[in-house]
Amino acid sequence: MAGFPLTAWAVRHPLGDDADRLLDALASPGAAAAPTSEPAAAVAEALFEEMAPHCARACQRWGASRVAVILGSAAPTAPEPLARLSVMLSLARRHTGITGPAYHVAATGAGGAKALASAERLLRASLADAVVVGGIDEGQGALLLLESHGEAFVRLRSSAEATGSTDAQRLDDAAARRAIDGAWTAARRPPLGYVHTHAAATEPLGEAEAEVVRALCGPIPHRATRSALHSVGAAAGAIDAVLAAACLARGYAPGPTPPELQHDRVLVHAFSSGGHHVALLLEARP
Amino acid sequence: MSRAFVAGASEWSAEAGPPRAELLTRTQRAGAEFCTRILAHVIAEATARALVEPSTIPWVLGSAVDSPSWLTPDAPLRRALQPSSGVGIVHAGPGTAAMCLVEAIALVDDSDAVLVALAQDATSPYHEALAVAFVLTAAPREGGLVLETPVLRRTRESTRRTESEHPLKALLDVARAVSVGQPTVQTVAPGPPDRPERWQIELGRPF
Repeated sequence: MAGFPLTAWAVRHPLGDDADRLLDALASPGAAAAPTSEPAAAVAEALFEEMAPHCARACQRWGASRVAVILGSAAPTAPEPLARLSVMLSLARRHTGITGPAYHVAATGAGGAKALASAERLLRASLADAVVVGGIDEGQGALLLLESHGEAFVRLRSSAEATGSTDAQRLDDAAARRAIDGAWTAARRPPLGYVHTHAAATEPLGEAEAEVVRALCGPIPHRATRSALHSVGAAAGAIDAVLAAACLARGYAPGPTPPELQHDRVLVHAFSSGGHHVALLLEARP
Repeated sequence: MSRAFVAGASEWSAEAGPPRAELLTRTQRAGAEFCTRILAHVIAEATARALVEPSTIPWVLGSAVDSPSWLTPDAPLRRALQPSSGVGIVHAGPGTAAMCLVEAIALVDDSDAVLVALAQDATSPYHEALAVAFVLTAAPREGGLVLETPVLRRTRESTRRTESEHPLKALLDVARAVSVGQPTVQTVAPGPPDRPERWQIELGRPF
């Protein structure tokens, strides 16, 4: 089976510290996350601690130098970004024992998704055998462990990126289409269960994004969770990926009155005001 | 793919004279920060040598010390060149130079070419402005050298760079080696410079 197994994940959010709780909260009408001021370093500490046993197993299996860390970041827009980034990489090394490549990729609100795309390429190019990947902000974040081989229910099948207009008031349809079509085509355009979009239909740019999805993929369900979760930074893309993976395990799309998934694949799309567009295709084991 | 071919390279330091920055319009040049101008200078040279159009290939950008404004979405260089195939901005502290190469080499399989560019203004603690750019390809080009994926190695005390050495100096030396066709091995620290490990960046001849 093509793609890379998603062998572990951890999520931290005011609505719940695991994906099922977050999905339950999203299924309750009116559920809204109270913004918290928990520092990003504290969120990172908790997430790396939770992932530590999985990282230790990956280091033992592949060798610590073959395990990489890639974190999405909201830099250069976040305040004091480099100081924060250095803290994150130090925490990652201290908690996981990983000695492979370790870096941040900045893409404002698409940072977490972009980190996953980078991880997929690193594994495909055999530059690493496992990658701890994610995004962490104040109050929320998520980490995922991708490995080159292994048993897991969900795999990251493909990814694609594009860059477009940096006009925050307008979605660059062409860039969105290139990213979504790139990831979908790389996986040979299999039928999709739903598309995990960046923006809800009621949000600015949400209808434009939905239109791109409809034009490319046809009339399949699409859902967005960012506004309900107050996810706006680098964590958002990583949380989207964790929720998409958890939805594949449940067999339902997220949100109130969720439709049952007709196919075991989710395409995640993220974009940012910096003109970054990232698409990820997740697939469940048949 | 654990290596990439260098199709073009360029470096800028103060001894090269004022940056030409011809990718920017005269108005953009007049209003651009110095760091943007040296970056535009090296991107123009590297892509011209590689015969590629910078807007059509993915970019990997890096800055080791601060988070300069040329990385922001509305920076003049982004607006002037309108890259369409993805822009990755890599941060890894002192190891940024090596990690930019890792990110770029992983991208090479998906694209005809990848642009890697780093620039640093003359800010504390490194009082020297430097910029460097490479165009990497998966396919060899005649006379081109090969850049191996950086690997972490323990290095002898005598070969370690000092704390005061500019984090982009290693890539500057690699770019100079490309221009004369001479293989080289350079190292950069992954973190605090007192550690014995270094990312080893090796430029060699294809075999």
